[in-house]
Amino acid sequence: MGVCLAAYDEPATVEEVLSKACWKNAMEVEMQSIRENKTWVVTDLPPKQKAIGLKWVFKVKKDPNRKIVKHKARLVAKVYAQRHGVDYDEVFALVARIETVQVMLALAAQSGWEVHHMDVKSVFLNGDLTETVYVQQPPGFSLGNASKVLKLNKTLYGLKEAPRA
Amino acid sequence: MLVGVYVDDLIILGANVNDISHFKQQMKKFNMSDLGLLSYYLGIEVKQNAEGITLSQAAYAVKILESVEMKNCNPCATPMEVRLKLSKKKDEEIVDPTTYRSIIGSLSYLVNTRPDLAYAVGVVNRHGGTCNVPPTHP
Repeated sequence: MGVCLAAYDEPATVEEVLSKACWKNAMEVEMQSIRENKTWVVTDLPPKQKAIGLKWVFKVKKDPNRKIVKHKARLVAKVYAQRHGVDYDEVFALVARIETVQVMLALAAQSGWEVHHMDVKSVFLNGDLTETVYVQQPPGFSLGNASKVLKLNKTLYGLKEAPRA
Repeated sequence: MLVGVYVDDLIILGANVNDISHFKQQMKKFNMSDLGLLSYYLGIEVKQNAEGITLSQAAYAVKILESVEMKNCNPCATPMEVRLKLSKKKDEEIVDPTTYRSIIGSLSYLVNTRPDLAYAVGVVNRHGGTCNVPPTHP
């Protein structure tokens, strides 16, 4: 197994990373997370339906001191083709206003409280999907018959409905 | 106990440390990682100690400097030139509005922990985010 010592670059395509252990590993982690969540079922594409393409996005995560913390691979849907009203309805993301964060930190400082931090691994994979969405098979991974598509149960990154699920 | 949610990033604070650990334990079923005491949130570095909480964006500031190729510039004590006039004269070269506005956007986020830059950032943002003469770096 090759070790990624110089994996500072963020590759753009799957072909570039298939030989690199750290990226292969990152892709496995993402696929594992998708399998555990039962994100999709393998099926045939019904007539007059379109399957959205998938692609891998690679990211090197660094801490404030620029030290590499981890290699992350994220499977995303290429959704430029999603149509409003057909494939998705509402689009929004839940975020805290920065003022709210400031007030919370000020309150903690004032009261001498501890502030703790948690983060959801693959947050969007937890969301249930109400619309019917078909996607193609992920590049670099074969899921049996090449003519099959995947019907999503859960959201994938990139889908318009992902942030609110 | 208070919980702040930013999509997939949670901050948890409260008077009772036991409540916090109980909450964390309950959240584990959503496949979450416990990052312990908050140290880095939304690009802001957080230091917690007995005196209080210190916020900084040193890494973010360096990132901005790198993106505008000003990493080797000398630091200065005042964030802007005294009585600086930014003009919109037609005969001068216009800066790329997209890049210019993007830099202003980055600087605005830096104001979170650098309120002393607020005035200077406001000045460069005056003419609808456009400018003919590149302003002095704050």
